[in-house]
Amino acid sequence: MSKIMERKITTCIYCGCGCGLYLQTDGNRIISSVPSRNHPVSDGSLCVKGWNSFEFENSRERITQPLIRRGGKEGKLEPATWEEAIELVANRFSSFKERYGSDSLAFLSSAKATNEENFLMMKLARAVFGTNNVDHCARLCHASTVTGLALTMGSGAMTNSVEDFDKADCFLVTGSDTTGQHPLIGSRIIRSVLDRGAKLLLFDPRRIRLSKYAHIHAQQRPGTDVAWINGLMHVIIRDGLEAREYIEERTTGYQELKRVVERYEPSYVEGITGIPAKVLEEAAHIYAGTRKAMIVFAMGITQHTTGVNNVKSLANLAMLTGHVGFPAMGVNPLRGQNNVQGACDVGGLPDVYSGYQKVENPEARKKFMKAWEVDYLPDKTGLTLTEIFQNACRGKIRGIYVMGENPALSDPNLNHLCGCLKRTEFLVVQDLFYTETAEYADVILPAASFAEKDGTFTNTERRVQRVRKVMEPVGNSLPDWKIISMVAKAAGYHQMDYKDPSQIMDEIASVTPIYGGISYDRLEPFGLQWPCPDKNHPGTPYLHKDRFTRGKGRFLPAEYQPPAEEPDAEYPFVLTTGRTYWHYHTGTMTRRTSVLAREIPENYVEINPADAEAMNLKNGEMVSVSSRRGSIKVKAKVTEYVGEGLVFIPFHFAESPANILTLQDTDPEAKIPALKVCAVKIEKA
Amino acid sequence: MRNDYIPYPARIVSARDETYDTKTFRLKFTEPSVAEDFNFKQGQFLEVSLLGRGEAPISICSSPLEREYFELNIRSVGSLTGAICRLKEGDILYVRGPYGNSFPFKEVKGRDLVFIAGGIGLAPLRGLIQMVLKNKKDFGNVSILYGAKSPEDLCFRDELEQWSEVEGTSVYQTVDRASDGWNGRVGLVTELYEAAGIEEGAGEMSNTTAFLCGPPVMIRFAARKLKACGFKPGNIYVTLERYMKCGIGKCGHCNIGGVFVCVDGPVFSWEHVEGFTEDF
Amino acid sequence: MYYYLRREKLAGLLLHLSKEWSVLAPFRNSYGDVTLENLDSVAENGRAEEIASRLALGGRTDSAQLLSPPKEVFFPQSEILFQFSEKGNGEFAIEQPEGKDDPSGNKPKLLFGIKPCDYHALLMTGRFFLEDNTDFYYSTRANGSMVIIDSCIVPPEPEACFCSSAGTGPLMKRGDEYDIQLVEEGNGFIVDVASSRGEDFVSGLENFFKIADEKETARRLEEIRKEAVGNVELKVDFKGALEIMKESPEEGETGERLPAIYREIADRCIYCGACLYLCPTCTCFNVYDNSNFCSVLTLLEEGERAGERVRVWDGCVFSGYSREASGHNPRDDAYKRAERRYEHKLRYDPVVYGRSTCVGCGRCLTGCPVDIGMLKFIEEVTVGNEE
Repeated sequence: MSKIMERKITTCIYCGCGCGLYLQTDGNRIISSVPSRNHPVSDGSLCVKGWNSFEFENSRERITQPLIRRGGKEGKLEPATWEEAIELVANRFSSFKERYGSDSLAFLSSAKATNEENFLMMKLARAVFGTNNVDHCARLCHASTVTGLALTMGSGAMTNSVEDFDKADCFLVTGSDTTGQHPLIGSRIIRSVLDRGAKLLLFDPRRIRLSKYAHIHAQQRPGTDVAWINGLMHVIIRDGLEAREYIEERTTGYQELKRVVERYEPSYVEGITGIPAKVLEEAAHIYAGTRKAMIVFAMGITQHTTGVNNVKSLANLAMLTGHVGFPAMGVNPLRGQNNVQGACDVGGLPDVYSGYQKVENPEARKKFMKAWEVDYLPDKTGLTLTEIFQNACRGKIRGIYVMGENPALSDPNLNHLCGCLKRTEFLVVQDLFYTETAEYADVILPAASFAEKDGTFTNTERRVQRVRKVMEPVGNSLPDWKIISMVAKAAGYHQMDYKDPSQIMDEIASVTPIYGGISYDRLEPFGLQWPCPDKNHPGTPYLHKDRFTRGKGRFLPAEYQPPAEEPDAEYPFVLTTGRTYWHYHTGTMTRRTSVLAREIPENYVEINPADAEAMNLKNGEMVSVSSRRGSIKVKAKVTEYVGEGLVFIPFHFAESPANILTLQDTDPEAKIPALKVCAVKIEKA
Repeated sequence: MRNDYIPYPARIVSARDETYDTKTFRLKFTEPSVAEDFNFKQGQFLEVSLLGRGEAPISICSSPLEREYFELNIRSVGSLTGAICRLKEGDILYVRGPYGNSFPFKEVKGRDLVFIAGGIGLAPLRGLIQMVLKNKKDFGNVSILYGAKSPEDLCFRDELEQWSEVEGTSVYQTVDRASDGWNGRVGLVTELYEAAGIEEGAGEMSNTTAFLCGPPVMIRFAARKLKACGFKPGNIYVTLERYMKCGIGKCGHCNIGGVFVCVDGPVFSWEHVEGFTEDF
Repeated sequence: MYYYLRREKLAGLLLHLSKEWSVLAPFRNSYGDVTLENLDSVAENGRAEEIASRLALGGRTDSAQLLSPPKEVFFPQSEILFQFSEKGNGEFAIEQPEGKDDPSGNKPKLLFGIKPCDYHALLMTGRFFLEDNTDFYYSTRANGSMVIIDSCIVPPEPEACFCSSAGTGPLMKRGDEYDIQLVEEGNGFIVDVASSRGEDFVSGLENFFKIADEKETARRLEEIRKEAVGNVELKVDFKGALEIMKESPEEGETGERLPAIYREIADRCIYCGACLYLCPTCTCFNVYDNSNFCSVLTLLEEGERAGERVRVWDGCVFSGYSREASGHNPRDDAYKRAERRYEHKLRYDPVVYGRSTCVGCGRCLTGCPVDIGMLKFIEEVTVGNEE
C-alpha cells in the first residue's frame, strides 16, 4: 500500500496577516506550501516566508525527546521520559508554591502557539498554581496598543479588516515596514497606491520599500512621535478640518485635546521632529481631507518609553477626523506574530483573563472559579514579562515556564537578561528547537510544530481561524496543549483533560464573551472575526460601528517627552532595531529554511553613506557597535535607507545580538521596553 | 539508472597551506573502482561536499595526466569552505564529477600560450600549465601572468618559481598592494602585458592563445585589453565561475543568457561570451 | 480515433484505472481550490460518490485551473536526494531514496485531466530534466507516466490565462504531441485519441469509451475549437513580444524601454517567489543539507550524526540565488533579476527549445501579491504594436 500524500489547509505560522495555505506531506515530511486562492487574506498569494513555511518543521535539529539537566546548573542535559520530565516540572513548581508562595512562579505563554494552548497556559498559571504572573512577547510588541486603544476606544485591536486595504483612499503608515513585516498587507498598499491612486503618508525615520510610493515620506527623529501627531492635530484644528459632528456625538475630552495640541505649531514640531512644517501641514490636509483613511502602525510606534502616549495620540487623530467606526477607516495596529492577537485575547496577560476580563474584577474571578472548579484565583495583577526577569534576578521568582519564546535573543539588554535566566532556580523551556533560551533550561520539553497539531490562531484583523494537523509530531514531541495538560494533571489538577483542542475552544467560548459564538464547526471555511458573541453572530469585520466599544471615544492627549536615552558625544548614533523581510524574530525557523537563510546569512548594521565616509568606513567592513550596556561586532551596510545619525540592526542573529545594546527602560503604563531608540557608538573592528 | 547527485568519499592524502586563507588538498577516492573510473580533463570541476554543511563546485587544479590523485585549491570564504579548510590529512570529503567542458590542449599545440590569472584564479589553469610544461617541446613560448591582492595572496609560489625555470617559459607576477619584503611589481595584472610582449599596435597576435581566470572584473578588463592588443576573441579562453548547485545543467543557478556555465562551460572562448549583457 | 465518454462513467473509470495506475486527478476541495490529488487519498473517504462530486473535470461546465502546476508531481517543491549517517570512520553511509518517498509506489502515474497549457509545460520540463544528463529523481517519478488532457472550452481564469496567444491551447490539435485529450460535449466528453499509446490505453476499456463517428466528431471538434478560441478574452501580442525580445536589448528604442520596464517591475516586486513557484515551467532548485550536527548550538554531542541532502524549488528573483561564495553577485541589482526572468522565458528559451517556456497559464499573475505577471509584461512590451 502506498503512502498517502495529503494536502491540508492551515494558517501560516509567520506574521499576523494570517494567510491561508495548504501544507502537503508525503507521509514522512512536509514537502510543499501553496496559498489558498479564496482565503480573504492570502487571496492566492503568500510572502516568501509563507511559500517556504514547510521547511523548518523537517529540520533534523528538532528536539525529539524531553531533556533534563542533571548534576546541578552546570550539569548536562540528558534525555528523559515524558513521565519523569513532567513529574519533575510539576513537583518543583508545586514545592516552590508551597515554600515561597504562588507568586514565586511565572509562566510565559506564546504568540506562536494556538489560542487553545495559550488559554491552557494561563489556566495552568492561575487555576493550578494560583498566580497571575503570566505574560508573553506581546509585552514587547503591542502592549502599548492594547493599553492605549483600550483607554481611548475600548478595544485594543485592529479596527478594520485586511480587505479594507483594497478600499481605503489614504494610508497613514508609521513605524511599520509593511512590505517587510506584513507583506500581504504591504502589497495591498502598493496596489492601492499604484493602481487605484490611493494616497500614502509615511512617517518613518528609515527609508523603507514603501517610501518609493509615498506621497509624503516624513522622516521623524526616532522617539518624537507624540510631537508630530500632535502637530497634525494642531493643523487640523487650526484649519477647521476636524469632524465636528462626530466629535460631538461620539467622543469626550475634545476641549482638553484642543488645549494640549495648541502649542504644537508646525514650526515647533519641526524643531523636535525634524519634519518640515510644510510637509506636516500637507499631510494633515490629505489625511483629514480623505474620507476613507486608515492609520497603520506597528513597532515603530509602540516600542518606546512613550509607547502608550504614541498610540493614544494616533487614536486621538483618528477620532478628531471621524476616521473610526467605518469600513476602510480606522486605527490599525499590525500585530506581529501569527497569534499575538489570540494570545492576548485568551488571557496570556498578567491583568486579564480571556476576553480582557480583569483579574481584579470579583465578578470575573467568580465566573472563572466556577468554570475551572477552583475555590481560589489571585486577585492582584501579576508581573509583566520585563518584571518577571527582573524579579528572577532578585531571587523573588524561582521557577519560570517558557513556552515557545526565546527571550534570550528577543528581549532588551540581553547581558542583564541572560544573567537573570542563569539565576533562575528552575527554568522550563518548551520549544521545537534548542534555542538561546533553552541553553539555560533545567528541563526542555519538545513541542510539536504548527503543522503537527490542531488549533486556532487569531490574526491581526481578529480573524479566528483553524490550524490543522498535517503530520504526526516529530519524534516524541507533543503539542503544547497536551504537555500543559500533563503538567496540570501531575500537579494534582483534574479539570484539564481534553480529547482534542475543539473542546478547549468550547471552554474558551463559554467564558469569553468576544469569542462566545466561536466553535470549530463555525470556523469553516475561513474563520470568524471577533467580537462574535453568540452562535448566530456573523463576526465583526470592523470595530466601533455606531458606538465605541467603551461607549464614547475618549480623547487622551499627551505631551511630547524625549526618549529615555538620547545620543551624546560619547554615543553619537541613534540605534533602532527591527526585522527584515527574509527572517522572522530570533531566526529559529527562518534560519533553518534554506532559501531564507541564504538570502541574509549574517547580521549587519545599516549606516548612512555620509556617516560611513566620515569614519572612512567601507561597505562590508566589520564594525563594533556599542551602547552603555554592551557591544557587538557586525558588518557595515552602507545605505541611504537610514538617515544621518541613525543606524539600524535586525535582531535575528544570535552571533551578534542587537539586543545586547538595547534599553530595558519601559513605558510606565504598558511596561513595553524602548527597543526602538538607544544611543550607540560605532568603531571599526 | 545513474544518479549524478550521489557523491563518493575521497580521502585527503595531504593538505598544504597555500596562503593564509587558501589550502591545496590532495585527494584520492577511497573506493578503488571509483578511483579507477575517475578521469577528467583540464579545466573541469568537481562538486565537493562536507556532508551536513553542503556542497560547492571546485575546479580541479592538478594535471589530468596524474592518475594517483587529484588536487583542489580551496579558499576559505564561507561556512562550507571555511569548514573544509579546517580538515586535515586523513579526513574525508565527498566528491562527484568531473563536470563541464575543458580547455583546448591538442588544438593549441605549436602555438605561443599566455596564461593570465588573478588570485586563486591560478588554480583552474594550473593543471593545464602542468600539462603544457610537461610537453613543452610541443608548444611555443609560454608566459604566465599572475596577479594577486597582496604578496600574501599569491598561490603556488614554489611552482611559479619552478615554471619560470622551464625553457621558453616566463613568469610575471604583480600585486595590488605591496607588503614588507616585496620587491616585485605593484599594479594590475594587465600591466604585465607589456613585459610579456603584448602591446597595443604591435599587430595581430595570430599565433598566441590566451587563457584567463580570475575575478569577474579582471576577466572583462583583461580580455578587452587582449583584444586591443591584437588577439582574436576566438584565441582567448576564459573560465567562468558561477554559483551552482548541480553541475549537470539542472539547478539553473549558473545560467547566463542561454548557456549553463556548468555544462556549456566553465571554459568559454571570448568570442562566445563577450556579447553577454550580464555580468559574469 | 474518436470516442465518447459519458460523465457518469468517470468515477468508475478512474477507480478501474487505479488498479494499474497511480491516478492523479483534479479535485475541488471545500475551500474552492482545485488540486491534483491521488485518487487513493480521495477515494478512501467515500469511493465513487465522493470522487464524482469533487472531481473538477470538463472544460465547459467545470473549467478549473490547478492551484499548483502539475510539475509538482515529478518535481516536488522539496525532495530528499539522499540520506547520510556516519559510519564511525569519518565516512558516511549514503542511502538514495530510489523513489521510496514517492506515494505512487511502483505504479506509473496517470495524470487525468491536465489543461493543455499545463500539458505543454510538462512536455518542456520533461525535455529539460530527461534529455542531456537525465535527472534521476524526475526520471524516477515520471517513469511510465501518462497524461490525459482535459481541454478548455471556457477559460478557467478569464482574467489571467492567455493560452490562445501563447499557442498552447485552448484545445490540442492533431499533429501536436499528445496521447489523449478530453473535450467536454453534452453530458460527457469527446475523447480524442491521437497516438498509438493512446489507442493502447483505451483498448480494453470498451465499457467506458464508445467509438464515435470520425468525420462528424472531427467537424464538431473544429466547431468547439473556434468557440473556445473565441471564449479566450485575453489576447496579447505574444509573437510580437518574442520578436522584440529577440533583438539585442542594448540597441534601439527597446534598448531603453526594456530596462525601464524591468526597473519598474523590480521596484514593485515584493520578492515572494510566487511567479517562479507557480510557473509550470520553472525548474530551478536549491540544494541544502539538513543535518543534526552543524548548528552553532549543538545539543547532543553523542548520538548518530546524520542528515539528508534536500532539493527545494528556488528562483532567480532572489538575490542569494546568484550570489557567489566570494560575495560577488552578478545580479546584485534587483532589476537584473527581473530582466533575467523575462529574458529566460521569452528570449533564450525560444532559441534553445524552439518555443517560449511561457505557456500562458496566468498563474504568475493570479499568484502575484502586487499584480505583476507575464501577461502585463507582454502587454507593456508590445504597447504600440499593431493589433
